[in-house]
Amino acid sequence: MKRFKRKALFPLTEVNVVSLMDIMTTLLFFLILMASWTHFSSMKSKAAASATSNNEKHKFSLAVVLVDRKNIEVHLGKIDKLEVTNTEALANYLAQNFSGNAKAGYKQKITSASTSQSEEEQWKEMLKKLHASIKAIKSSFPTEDGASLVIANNIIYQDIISAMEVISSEKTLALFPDITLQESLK
Amino acid sequence: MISLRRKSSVKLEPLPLNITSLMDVLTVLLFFLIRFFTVNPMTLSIPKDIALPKASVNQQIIEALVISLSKNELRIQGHLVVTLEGGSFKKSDLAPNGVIIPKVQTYLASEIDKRKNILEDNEHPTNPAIKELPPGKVIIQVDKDLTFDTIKRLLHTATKAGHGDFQFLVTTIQQ
Repeated sequence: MKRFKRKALFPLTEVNVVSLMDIMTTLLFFLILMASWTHFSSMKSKAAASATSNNEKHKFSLAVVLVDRKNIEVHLGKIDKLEVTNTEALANYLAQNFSGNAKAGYKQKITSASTSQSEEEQWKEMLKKLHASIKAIKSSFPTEDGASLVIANNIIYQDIISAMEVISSEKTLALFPDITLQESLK
Repeated sequence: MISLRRKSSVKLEPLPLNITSLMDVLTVLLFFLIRFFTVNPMTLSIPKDIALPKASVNQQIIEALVISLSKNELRIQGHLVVTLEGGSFKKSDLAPNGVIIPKVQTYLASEIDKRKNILEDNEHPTNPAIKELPPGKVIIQVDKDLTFDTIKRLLHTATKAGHGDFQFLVTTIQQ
């Protein structure tokens, strides 16, 4: 029915895409040049406050001391007046791995046991032990987020970051993400 | 000469160039890159002499003042502030206490002043909270082989100048 009307087509003209191609190519090269193919992330921490108030006497306190590449210390403050979940499990873990008591606080010395391993392997082994302790403490103090990292002068930056990573998180689980950096005075 | 003229008179027929597939590729690539930039809005330029430490964390970086510390120099926002010798600060660049780097402190303090000025101009000029602002954020790029003996001087100085909220930049390892 009156098909001839549909045949009233517009004149066929070629679309000139040259300018569009120019824009796209320029934009493309600009974006490729600007793009960074390395993924960056950040480890957050704060500087230590200069003084501690008397109100913080019965607060949870956890400090990891990086003495050198062969010695790490974990200091857990007094826990006798703190609310602890999984009390029995924590008590067992502390008895096995730490020295001290609930009133005075606990201390763990992590050293590399094997001498046959390379220095790098020994360091990784020590970080694993540190991670186990941090995880055990976190399971008993799930609401606590803060920990101190005390660092000796000879520790290299990569090791500081590795320790911070171990203290702050485990894949998707946050351990003690509020890390305060301190200088070791030893 | 005659032979050359004959050759030049040969007419080539114009061939239609089909750029449809090329356009498709370019468009897809363009959208991919635009998407990439939307996810990573912050672009950071890492100095060539800094090898960042590696970590498997995935925390977003918040835009802040960038301090770069390599074995040879310390830069703030790309401006050279202090040069180092053998991965340590020169004694002449340190304050008598051996901890603070005065040039860095001055630079960072001026940044805090700028921040305060903006707040004073735009908000309540007599707001006492301006005097007690939270510590300023800084993105710290440090070479992975530097020791804490060097880094601590930068951290002390930054804290003293009011920038005590650190974001240590790391290269993410995909696990």
